[in-house]
Amino acid sequence: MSGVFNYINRKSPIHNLTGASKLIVLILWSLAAMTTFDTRLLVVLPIISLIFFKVSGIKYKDVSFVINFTFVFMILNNLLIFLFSPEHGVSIYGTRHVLWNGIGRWVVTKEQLFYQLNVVLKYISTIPIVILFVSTTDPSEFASSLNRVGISYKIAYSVSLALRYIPDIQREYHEISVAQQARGLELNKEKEGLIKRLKCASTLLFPLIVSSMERIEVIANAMELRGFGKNKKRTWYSSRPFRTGDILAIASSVAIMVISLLLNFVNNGRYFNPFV
Amino acid sequence: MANLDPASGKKTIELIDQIHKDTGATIIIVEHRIEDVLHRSVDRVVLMGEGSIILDTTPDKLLSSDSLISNGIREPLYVTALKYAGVDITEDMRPGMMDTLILKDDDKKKIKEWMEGIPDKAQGEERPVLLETKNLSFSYPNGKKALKNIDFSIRKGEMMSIVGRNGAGKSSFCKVICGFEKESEGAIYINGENISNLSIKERAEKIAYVMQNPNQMITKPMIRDEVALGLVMDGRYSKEEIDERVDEALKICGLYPFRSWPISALSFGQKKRVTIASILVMRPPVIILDEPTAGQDFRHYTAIMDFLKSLNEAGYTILLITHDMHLMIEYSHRAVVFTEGEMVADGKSEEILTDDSLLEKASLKRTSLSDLAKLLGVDETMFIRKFIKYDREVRK
Repeated sequence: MSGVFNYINRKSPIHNLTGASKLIVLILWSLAAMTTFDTRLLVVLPIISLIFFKVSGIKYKDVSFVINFTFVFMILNNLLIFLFSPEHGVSIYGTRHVLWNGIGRWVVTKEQLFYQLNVVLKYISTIPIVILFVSTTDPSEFASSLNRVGISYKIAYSVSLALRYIPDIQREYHEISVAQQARGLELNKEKEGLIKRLKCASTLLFPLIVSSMERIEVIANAMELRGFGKNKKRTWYSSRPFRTGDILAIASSVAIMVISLLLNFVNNGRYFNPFV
Repeated sequence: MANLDPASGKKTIELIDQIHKDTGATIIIVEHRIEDVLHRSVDRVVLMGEGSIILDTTPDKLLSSDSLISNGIREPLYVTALKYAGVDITEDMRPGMMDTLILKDDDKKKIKEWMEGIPDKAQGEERPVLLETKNLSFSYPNGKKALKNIDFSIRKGEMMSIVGRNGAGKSSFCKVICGFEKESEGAIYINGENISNLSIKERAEKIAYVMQNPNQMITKPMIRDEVALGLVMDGRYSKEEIDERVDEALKICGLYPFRSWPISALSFGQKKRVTIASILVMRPPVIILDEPTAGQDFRHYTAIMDFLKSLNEAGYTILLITHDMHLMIEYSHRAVVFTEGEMVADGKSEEILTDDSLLEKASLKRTSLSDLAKLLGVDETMFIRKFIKYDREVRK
């Protein structure tokens, strides 16, 4: 059970980048993809992010859960967009080419399809980068690189601890869940309805929280015993120096951000309009 | 050494001793398993009780007194054996470690006489098999085989130990039996009936699993609600029946005086008993306990184990996952040994403890009783068996 958000240790150029540079790339990349509606850029970004994905050595089956979940979410999002404003595309692009008259106000237009295509492309641009960030970044190295970019080491460490304990918490949840099923809580798909199962799942939170608090206390004590928090600065065992790969990665994401902004001026707004 | 199997505990002490020799560091070991610590010599032992220091002395002096017993600490088994035989233990006998122990011929004779005085009766009749597995295998998601073709059986009314090093498959085995994990091949039977298709909830009516960490089982803030939970979730019991069963379970577990208390007010050992009470209300014929005494000092260990013994005498079939070999000797009729996912031995506790190659394979270690038997020149298996017998009589 590799779970939802885990570090997967492979060898790849992506893995070799520092956690901080990957975080910077993630932020800039996401900003660029989220703010623009220039389809030309939005076609290029997914291609690049899928190339990164291939290069990283992370396979579909490692992260299938997240991918499937996001896919379902994306479909849902698109359906709702169409349901609530089927003519949004028309109002953005200024023209109206009807493809199918549909039912009532739900008319399918070229403009709407184009608009929703952009939405889909945005998903495909950003999701691989997010997944890559989580699965190729070693939590300890991530903390050290956050510290290098100026974040207090205590905060950086808390972030990496949280990442590092995700698999433990998942395992513990599973153990609590089976223990409760043995007490009579029916979580078995075939034998109970969805609402009841969700309600039951929430009773599992109580022991999970209790044991997490216990764990926090033990870890905090152990860290204090080793002198954590005494000084203003600390050195890191797993720190990685910034190399050319990192500079390149950061530079290219800055470039993409700049392109995204420039396109704003070129298009007189966020939208690339192929209809005029 | 709380969570370590015996062999790892032994290596840990050897490592600490090595570090001490190499660096001359001042070392303080906080532990109540004194027999395991004294695998290598220490300069001093400080005995604490009720917040103050009771004794500060050498191991030899300590073990020639009664201080350990009177303060709720288990003495090393060989010391107990010497005391049973009526041998007067003095400091010059160097009783601190089995390796340094000097026995005069008179003492040796005393022990042999004591041993011969213990009748070696044959076992009682065989009871019917209650739970068994045939060819049971289980693999982790990454493909690694955690259980390999396990053929296991336990009879009604038995109290059995499953021993083996950490990671040998003991917990995985019990989890597969309870349905927490799905087997890759093989079948599980209760009273001859195949239960492989029953859900976790359905299996729990027949086999209950008490986890090592009680906090993972407890979901309600009040003791009464927690113990009643299984019955309430079942839905088939009236309020009167539930109250009756809860009271009964609380009394059996010695928790009746606390019945209106919140769980947060309880100690770890008491929480453990709450989890046991909460599965007792369901009256499952088989109870599996995962490391029931881990981290407990001798007094609480004895309290829990005597309680489990009384449950066993009342008819419950009990399976204990443990790597505490003293527990295995003192409380279980039979034991099975797991190593690397395979069941490598199944027999009486004393037979397992005297098979040196098996002990090594399973990361267990020779008990000091075996070493004492060797020193005396008597059969190790018989010596241990007679010791167990005498010990059980004494502690009735």
